[in-house]
Amino acid sequence: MAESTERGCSRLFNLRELGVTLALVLIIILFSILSPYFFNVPNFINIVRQVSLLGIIAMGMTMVIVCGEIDLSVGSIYGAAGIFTGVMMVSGLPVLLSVLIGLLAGVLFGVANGLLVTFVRIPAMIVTLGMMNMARGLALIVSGGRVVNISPRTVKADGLDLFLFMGQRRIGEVPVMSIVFVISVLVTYFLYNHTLLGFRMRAVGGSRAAARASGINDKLVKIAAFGIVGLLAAIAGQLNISFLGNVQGTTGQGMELNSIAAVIIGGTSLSGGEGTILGTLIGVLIMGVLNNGIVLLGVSPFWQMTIIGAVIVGAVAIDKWTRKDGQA
Amino acid sequence: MTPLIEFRDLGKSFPGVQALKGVSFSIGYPDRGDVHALVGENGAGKSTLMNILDGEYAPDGGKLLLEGKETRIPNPHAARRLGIGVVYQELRLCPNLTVTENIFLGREREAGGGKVRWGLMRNASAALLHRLGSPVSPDSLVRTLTVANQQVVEIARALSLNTRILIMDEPTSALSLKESEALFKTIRELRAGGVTIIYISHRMEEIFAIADRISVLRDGAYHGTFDREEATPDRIVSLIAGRELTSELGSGRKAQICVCGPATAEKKAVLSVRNLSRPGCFEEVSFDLYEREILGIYGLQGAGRTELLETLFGLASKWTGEVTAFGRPIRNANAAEAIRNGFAMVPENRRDSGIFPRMTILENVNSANPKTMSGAFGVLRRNKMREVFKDSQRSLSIKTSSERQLVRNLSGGNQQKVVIARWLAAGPRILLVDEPTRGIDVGAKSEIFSIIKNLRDQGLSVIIVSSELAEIVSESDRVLVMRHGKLVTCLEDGDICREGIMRHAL
Repeated sequence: MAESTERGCSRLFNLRELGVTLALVLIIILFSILSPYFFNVPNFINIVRQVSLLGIIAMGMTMVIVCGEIDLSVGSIYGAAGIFTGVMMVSGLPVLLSVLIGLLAGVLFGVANGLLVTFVRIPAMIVTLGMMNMARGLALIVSGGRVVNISPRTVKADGLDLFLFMGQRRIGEVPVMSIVFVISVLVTYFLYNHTLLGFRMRAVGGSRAAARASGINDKLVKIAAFGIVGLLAAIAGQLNISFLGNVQGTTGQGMELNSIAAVIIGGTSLSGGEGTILGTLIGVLIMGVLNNGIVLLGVSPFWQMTIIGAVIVGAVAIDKWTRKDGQA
Repeated sequence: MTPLIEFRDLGKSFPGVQALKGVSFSIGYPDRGDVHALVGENGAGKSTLMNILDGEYAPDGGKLLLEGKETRIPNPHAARRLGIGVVYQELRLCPNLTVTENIFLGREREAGGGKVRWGLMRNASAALLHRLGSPVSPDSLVRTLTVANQQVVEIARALSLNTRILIMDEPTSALSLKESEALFKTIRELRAGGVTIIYISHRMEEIFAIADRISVLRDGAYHGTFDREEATPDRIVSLIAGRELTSELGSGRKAQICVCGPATAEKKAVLSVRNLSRPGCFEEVSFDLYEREILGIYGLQGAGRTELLETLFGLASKWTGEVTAFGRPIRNANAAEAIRNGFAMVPENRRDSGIFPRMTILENVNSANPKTMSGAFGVLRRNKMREVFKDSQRSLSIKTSSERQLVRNLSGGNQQKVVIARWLAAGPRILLVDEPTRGIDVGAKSEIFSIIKNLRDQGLSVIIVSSELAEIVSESDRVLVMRHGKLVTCLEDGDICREGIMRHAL
């Protein structure tokens, strides 16, 4: 009993996420002092809703980066999956089927990335840069470059209510979208920390040679990571059209870099093998709080980009600095 | 007459190793060229000595004299200024640049007096290549050249610095016979031009073909210099291997080649390898591994030992031959299959392919054992993982403060135990160990071997590959010797001695 308490305590203080958590707390305190509108529950609920879609994608991005790879195509997959679903609903397909097709498209984009990276051995940076353009182009082709509107006027099939419920409604005070976000955090946390797949992602990213020599199929593991991030990007894309009621070919541009930023702020190493879901969650929240606080202060949105850029570089600098000890 | 280079009582130690012990001898003449071969087994001190001459290391004690003057060479740059050049075993060229660009790399302005003048450099390169009798164009990209021609470029680069002393470290290891002959021709011409060549090699036939004099190092100590005419390969080999130790360990029997007989009733073969070949690495390798034995495989660098183990463990493609394990023919196409067939491998390069440095001990110990560590739907079983860790910690006495310690923070010996523990958790029947004690301190070495012997006594069959002759002699039940990708002999019992092994390996 005493032993387990002790372990719990040391675990708390040894947390890798401690530094980034402190940063989040500091930023929250700072904004609370600077703005009277910041520190209240409705605003916090708002922040979480604002970061939900980014957060869902960042969870998957963590896995890809931990495997030692990168995915630049998630923003396009996010947009394309939404477009596919929207166009199909408007054309009269059942809502559920349209959603499933959108999700399947996300998985297929992801798996295609994975196959090209592992079997054709093209660097992930190039593969996903190509896929970013291909998925974006497909989205524009399918939508004909027009805005796709989702409303009872354009979609006659059943189930639209439920679909719109996912993005627009609240349960009590909590937006359904944020609940989906929380569920995706819990599921990826479990997958990453408590299953063989998550373990192998860290192993493959930490040392591919050692993983292969241990009988781990590194290719399969990476394909799985790309597939998962594709699925999560598609889920976020569905929630996005549900929330906005429309989608267009350019939806999701910049999402890939923001999700990578959140993962890196959260302490995941770009060289692979290291990173946590919890860290990414805090990274996502830091980005959300910064965006929200800066708007509340009435600072120019141009400053937002500048500040978030500085935070990314600063986070990695601090991470490098604090981890100098213990290394050979 | 003062020699060109003289070592006087030169000493150098590294943590845990005395790499050079009071080495004194001289090389070359001030007024004419010479080819001086430096021989010794791996770890005899040749590289350390050459690194001192090249300014990489500073000696701990003793003197280095160039033409009778005491000289300190603080860095490789200073060595170049003194006319000392090196052609490394692993070529150090930029493959994406041309021959001329490589030859003048870092000195682009010199030919043009402060300006970068590629025309001048190109002409100078062409002249150098012509002097070496090479057909290589100064405009070729280095990556399009054969290894032999790349080596010519390295030599040209060294010569472009007015090199008087050229160190060549195993220059023929990647060359074909014909290419080697062309290299020897170049070496003879350089010697005629007044260059002193220090030639490091393991290959006796080459040394006796090219060297004027031969110096032997063993265990960091100097064991004599001989004119080629007065030396014989036999004599050199016994000096490399060390006679003193022969009489200690050789149990009085004469070293002779034994034919390893087929498995008998009492000796059951668990692994039979027949005609195993992998292009460019080894060919026609056949042997049996018996139950409960430690089979040592010795060979010099490049003999194909590591490649053989990798092939058995499924880490190579493109091999031919037959492998039978426990009476069943097998073809290990990847490590996962090898593990299923009862193999385990402790790799040579622990840092790169043995451990997961940024994962915990708990995770490292379990990583090759998915069946124990996870249950339904791949959900990890932390308690099982902890049991495995505790078991191996007990049986291998891994010293650690907690199961959550990162493996990269452990000592080399403890890291090696973690790697072994991982495989024991997977329940192997054949354990392949490549360089079991590399980067491990002396105390942990004997511990690792007592673990391996223990495993053998528990019924495992073990193959050890090592470049430490002493280890192979003292730890193996039988010894296979590899040379240039071929299995040349198998030694048993009384035939296992340093000299006998060396004679076949060289």
